[in-house]
Amino acid sequence: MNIQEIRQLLRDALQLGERANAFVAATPLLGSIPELDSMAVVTVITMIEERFGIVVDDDEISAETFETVGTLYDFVNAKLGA
Amino acid sequence: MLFAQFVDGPAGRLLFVGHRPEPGATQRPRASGRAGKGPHAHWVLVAPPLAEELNKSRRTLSLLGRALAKIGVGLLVVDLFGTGDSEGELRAATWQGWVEDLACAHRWLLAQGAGQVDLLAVRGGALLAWDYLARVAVDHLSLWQPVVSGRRLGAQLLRLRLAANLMGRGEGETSAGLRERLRQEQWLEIAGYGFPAQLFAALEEAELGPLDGRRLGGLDWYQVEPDAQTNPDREEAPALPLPARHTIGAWQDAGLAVEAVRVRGDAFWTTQEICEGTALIEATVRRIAERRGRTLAGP
Repeated sequence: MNIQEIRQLLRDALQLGERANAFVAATPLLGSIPELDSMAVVTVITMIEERFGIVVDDDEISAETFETVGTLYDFVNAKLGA
Repeated sequence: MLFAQFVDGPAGRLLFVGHRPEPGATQRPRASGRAGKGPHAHWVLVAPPLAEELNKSRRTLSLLGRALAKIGVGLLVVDLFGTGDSEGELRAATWQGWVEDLACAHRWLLAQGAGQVDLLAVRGGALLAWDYLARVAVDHLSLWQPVVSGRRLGAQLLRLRLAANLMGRGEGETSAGLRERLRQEQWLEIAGYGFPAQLFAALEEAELGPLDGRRLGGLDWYQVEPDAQTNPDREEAPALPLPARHTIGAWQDAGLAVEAVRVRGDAFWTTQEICEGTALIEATVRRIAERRGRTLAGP
């Protein structure tokens, strides 16, 4: 898994199109991307589960997880390594 | 032709919405053993997705109905008890009752002169259709982006409520806390839907498990994947998700004819704006038309 796959996932989940091309690890998510409402957060987590074949415990998820592209990447990476 | 009518269901009046086949859309050959059952002989019955996903899916299902009508196939979407515009409150709905609602819609179609009724299940509706198939033989089942595990769907529903916490509107809830509340109060509101505990528990037990005597002629599994055109990061099409591969493999090992069909498109059942599963509709209509052609041509 690499950060491109997270960028890809965000593009797909939030229908960001080419806007997602500019995403880097430091790009802020929650509160900065208008598409990222509570329904979209669920879509992203669900897509992470389905695409990477992992199960996310909801209590593991905090606002910090969705702070930036990089924090989300770190979260998925840690889950994959667990 | 579009139709919408209320039909007396097992627990209350149900709204049936769909498209009748257009008259003369297909010529049924006189030699066919099925001749005489009229132009409405082939129907597709939809096991609908749950909660908000139903609303998001209506547009695509309606377009599918229109496209199927043109090739002489009818489509029926039933609003399950306590959902959509059918009678009853979701809080009074049961999983078994929903299976009965599907059976009711199936019987209604047969009474209307349908000679063949195939099933199309969308997302969580796949779990419902699978339970229904334990008691009825069906020629064909199509699954649109099916939910493989009810447990996972249940977790996603709880998550919907928890996600509001991240937006700063939450009450510091946890999934364990929500489950405890579900147990004590016997229902839980999730995104405006009041889920009763019994229904939630039954949902979580449902899964796309072994065939277990289910009599099914064939199954198409449609997986919708985002548009490759806008994906510079993606060099090749990804494999089907792992749970899908496992489920399909197990069914194939058990002798079921399963075809995985991958189409491009957005996740219309969940997107913020209503969008249309155009490629999914085209693929579904094409495959139904092909199967129908083979059936009409006979062995």
